Amino acid sequence: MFPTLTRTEAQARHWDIIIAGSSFSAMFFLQGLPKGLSVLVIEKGRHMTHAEQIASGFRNLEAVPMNNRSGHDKEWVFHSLLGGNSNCWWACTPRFHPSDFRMQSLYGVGEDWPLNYDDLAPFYQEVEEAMDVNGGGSDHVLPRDKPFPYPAHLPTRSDKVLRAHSDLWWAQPTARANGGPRAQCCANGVCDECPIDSKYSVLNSFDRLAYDGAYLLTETEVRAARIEGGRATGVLVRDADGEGEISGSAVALGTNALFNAVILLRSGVDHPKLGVGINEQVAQNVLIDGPGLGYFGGTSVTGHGYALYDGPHRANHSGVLMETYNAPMELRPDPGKWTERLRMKIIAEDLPRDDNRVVLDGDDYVIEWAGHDAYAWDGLAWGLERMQSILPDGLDFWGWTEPVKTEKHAMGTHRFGSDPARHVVDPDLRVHGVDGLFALGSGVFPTSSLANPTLTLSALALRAGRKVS
Amino acid sequence: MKRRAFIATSSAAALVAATPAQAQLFRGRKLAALVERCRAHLARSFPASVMAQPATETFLAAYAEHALDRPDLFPEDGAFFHFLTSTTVIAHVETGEDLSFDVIFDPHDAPCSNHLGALYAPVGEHDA
Ligand SMILES: Cc1cc2nc3c(=O)[nH]c(=O)nc-3n(C[C@H](O)[C@H](O)[C@H](O)COP(=O)(O)OP(=O)(O)OC[C@H]3O[C@@H](n4cnc5c(N)ncnc54)[C@H](O)[C@@H]3O)c2cc1C
Ligand code: SF4
Repeated sequence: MFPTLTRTEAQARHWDIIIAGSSFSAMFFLQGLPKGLSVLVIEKGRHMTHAEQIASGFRNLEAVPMNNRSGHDKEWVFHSLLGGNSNCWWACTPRFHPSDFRMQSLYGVGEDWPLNYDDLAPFYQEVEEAMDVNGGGSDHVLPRDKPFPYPAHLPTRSDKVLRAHSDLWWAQPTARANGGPRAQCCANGVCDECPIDSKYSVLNSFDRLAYDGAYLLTETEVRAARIEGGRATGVLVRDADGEGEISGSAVALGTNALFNAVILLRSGVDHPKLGVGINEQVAQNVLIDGPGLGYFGGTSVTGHGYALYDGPHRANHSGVLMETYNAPMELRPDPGKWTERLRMKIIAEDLPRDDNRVVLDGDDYVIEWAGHDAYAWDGLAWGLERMQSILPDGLDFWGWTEPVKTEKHAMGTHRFGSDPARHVVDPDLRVHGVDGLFALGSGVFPTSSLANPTLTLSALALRAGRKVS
Repeated sequence: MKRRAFIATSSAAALVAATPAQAQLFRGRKLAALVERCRAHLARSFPASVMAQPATETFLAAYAEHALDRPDLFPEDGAFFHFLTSTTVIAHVETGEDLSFDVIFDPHDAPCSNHLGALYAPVGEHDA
């Protein structure tokens, strides 16, 4: 743990950098910083130990005000406590696909990222090492210079059937331990509250996140960045005792795509795209029956399928990423066929739309939600249909569920790029037009990819920290 | 109304007044009935040879204890799920390994006991 301070103690100093938030983006930015800086990490929530979280089931879930005009149920999931959503994530850690960074040049959709897969590759590797990521079998599509830190979890019977059929099925990369200092993952299948603390979290990795000169202030909300003469000079905070200011030479917001936008809006950052375009992937579960399917895999989500991920279809609609589940498992009552059922999740990419936005509402905020883009819905429908043709013979759909209410991957509220007129944040995650103000996290993603965002947002934060001189 | 309230109170009092032996007998009957229901349910899916195993009986007794006081469960479906996740029934059927049962799989109360995870894979399952 970092040494902790009271607000009065924090206010008595001038900090080189103030970081808001204490989850992935905040911690990997901190890791990237040059040595010798004085850093204050300000966290809105409190420190709840892993044991306390398991015992109480409480993690301070944010009630997110939303004006939902989409006609579909919609949720957003953010937890305000030390370590943020690293406490409840499932630790699925794929890299983005090289094409995800070039959607406009390749398919005329969305925007290109201001960097590409190769630029991010060394940072991906570093974060994978920090999280003890395991994986394998994907190098022909997601190239890597060095092997995964740990070998892939054992596959299920279903994975073996699929992998024998095509080399576009492989092990899902994960930070659910298969080697390394944390307990070996044993397929309990309740990863949002892993009972044995196997998956990576900020709380179980504090010793590796240590930074000489970093202090922690908890139960204190950053309300706004103080901006004077075009530069960030500190933050305005609120805690149980009231409001105050803390001074610093630079401020980095790592409070996720939603709260970063809210803080920037409150700070007076005036940009037509700020808060605009909030989005996330949309997903659906599919059940497949057939001979040879079954379990006995090493973790909860064991496999990934990329056959329908990338290709010319992305000019018209999203592709789908397929995830195979080992636990929780689906079973069949049919004699002798008890485990011959596979639960697969298919995930489609969304596009940022101007009518999905975060706006201030007095002292508070609200998400104006018009719905996922047709690009995502059409992709999901296409994926459901096309999947049947890419499965091995003998496997058939048994059924599917309604689309899930959230993938819990909010993004796109302060997108990055080099044009200050179109982008809120520059390629190094600095807010255009404000010196010393960083906005980290998936809020910067110009397009959403089909894959889980956290490895990528962590690699970007690490890279941004490295650029600080 | 007053009279109804009186009856309700007095019947509650009668329950409280049951001796420990009576309460145990009552619970024992409920357990036995639950075991029968779950056994019948499993017998629709599993062959007689599996149903005849001593470990199946041990499982059914433990499962009934596990499920009895949980009105939120569909006990028969739960028995089916837990038979597959808490015993070596798949390995038993496929490779002739002994059918064994140790604990009802529960991710929180008995973590790492998922018998459909790699830790309990049938012999040879993951040989290259
Ligand atoms: C159940 C679940 C499962 C998930 N599984 C996966 C997965 O398998 N793979 C994957 O890639 N992603 C997954 N995600 C998404 C992942 O959790 C997020 O992408 C990731 O946590 C974002 O990191 P972050 O640091 O940007 O923000 P967060 O983790 O949201 O952390 C934000 C931090 O900022 C703090 N904060 C908020 N407002 C303020 C304020 N005003 N002042 C100070 N502090 C503040 C919060 O308390 C929190 O600590 C999952 C999410 C959920 C909910
Ligand atoms: S599968 Fe189980 S052990 Fe592995 S991370 Fe999830 S809950 Fe933890």
